[in-house]
Amino acid sequence: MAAIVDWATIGAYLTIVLLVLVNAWAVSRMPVDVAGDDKRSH
Amino acid sequence: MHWIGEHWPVLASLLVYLGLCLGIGWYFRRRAERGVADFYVAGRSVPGWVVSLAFFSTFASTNTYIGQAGHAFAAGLSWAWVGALWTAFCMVSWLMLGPRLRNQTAGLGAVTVPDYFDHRYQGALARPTRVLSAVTILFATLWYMAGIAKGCAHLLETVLAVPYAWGVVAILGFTCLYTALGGMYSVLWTDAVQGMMMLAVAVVMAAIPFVYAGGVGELFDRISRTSHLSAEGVPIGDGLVTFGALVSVTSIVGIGLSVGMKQISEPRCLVRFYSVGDAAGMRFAMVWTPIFLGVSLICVMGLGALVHGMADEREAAYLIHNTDEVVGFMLAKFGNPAVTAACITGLFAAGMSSLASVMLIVGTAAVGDIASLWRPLGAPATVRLTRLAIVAYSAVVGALTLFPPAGVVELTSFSGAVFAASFFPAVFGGLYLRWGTGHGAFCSMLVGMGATLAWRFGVRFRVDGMSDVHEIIPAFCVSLAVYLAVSRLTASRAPSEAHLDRIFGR
Repeated sequence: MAAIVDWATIGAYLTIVLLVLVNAWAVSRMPVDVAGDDKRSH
Repeated sequence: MHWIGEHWPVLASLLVYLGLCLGIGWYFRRRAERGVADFYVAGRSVPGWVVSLAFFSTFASTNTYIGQAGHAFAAGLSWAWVGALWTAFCMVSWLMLGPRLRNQTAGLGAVTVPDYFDHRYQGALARPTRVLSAVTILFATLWYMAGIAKGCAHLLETVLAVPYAWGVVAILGFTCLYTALGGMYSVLWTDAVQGMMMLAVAVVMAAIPFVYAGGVGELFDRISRTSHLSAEGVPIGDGLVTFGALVSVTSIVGIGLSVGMKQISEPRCLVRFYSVGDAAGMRFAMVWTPIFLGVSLICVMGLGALVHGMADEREAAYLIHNTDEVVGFMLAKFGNPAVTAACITGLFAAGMSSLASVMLIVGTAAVGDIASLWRPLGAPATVRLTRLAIVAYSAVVGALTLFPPAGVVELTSFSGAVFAASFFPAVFGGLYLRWGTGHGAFCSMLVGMGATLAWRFGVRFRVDGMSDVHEIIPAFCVSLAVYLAVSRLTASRAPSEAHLDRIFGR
């Protein structure tokens, strides 16, 4: 498929995958507090 | 009887789905009546996975699953870049706005986006900002709802041969019923069910062209050297798989921003944050909402390009000028009744999830942000009147959808730009800038709306080379600049330090 579809187009799909992975990593490293909930999520 | 016999798989699937939605509305009707916070924000107590799926299904609609998926027939696989931009805005929304908005609105007792502006900014222009934003919601939502209802009614007409007017009444009637019954509880829980259905349907729809063509290699062979003609009548050749061959980068960026930014500015998305019950739920939603959206967009944003592998030259020549019919064509050509029934039900779910969310938003804006200021109301009266407002507004939308003005779909995209340009600075500044003032919020809102109108009707289609520059880009920049400048100039009108300490901490 990579030989048929150019990389700039495949890049859109790879970008989406990369974005959600980076997002999951970033959220895993930040404390999350919610008002009214005593338990902070780490 | 003949009609039932012919359409029974779709009918059965739709009836089960509609029964489930109405059951959820009936189940939550009493809980929704316990108070304004219950009806408007589900008591801020909903599990994170429900809110996450609800955010995804509210943002993605039939416009995504039919309109954008079909547009790739003319634009090629490059259109998937629009999906990448939308996923990025989903991340920004949950990372930067989600937790802060949830906590500030809980501390201030705000239950709508306009009343967040009022409580957050205080001062002389805070209340006018609330009313202005509520009026904007009432006006801009009309076109959005009419566009969605029109799409769903046409779908019913095409698939089940239901007359257009009946389709309009059915789609608005069912959605209005469960929304008015269970308020935010039923909107969120039905949205979650609809979100699961939409995810499954996205995967199924993406698989159809591959199954039809007989494999991945076979399909890509067909679409990478197609003899079909583009909308301009030029042979497409390898344009479907070559970046920018069939669509300009400014067009991708324009739609990517104007629609993607809805996630950081439209009340129907922002109000989702208010309802998250606890920190673990918030974390789940922050991680999984971009995944739900990303997976569905990977499946649908390039779908139209793949459908070239199912169409002959005559069919392609028609579809290239009627891209809204590409998904329907794909299902008809595939010809599997069970798959068609599942996909049609999923497409309805996509439309109804967005409709229900905005129905509730207009009801809360009309009663909670306008009527209750004019005449203070108790909790039972507020809930009762909000239900009435939802029904009345749906009736107005129904009338508009039965006799739609020309360009209602274009107005839908325009209304998204109005929200992004006029709401985002006030929301973002309210959450992050201690020195943001009500004057800044009010002025940026007015300027944002004015700039959107001016660019759309004065520049975009009148000045050469500007037609691909969506109004969202200049209007957003001007509105944000006005918010920052006016807030600085009116720093003395900022709320008291005690109030700001309560919002931001010391």
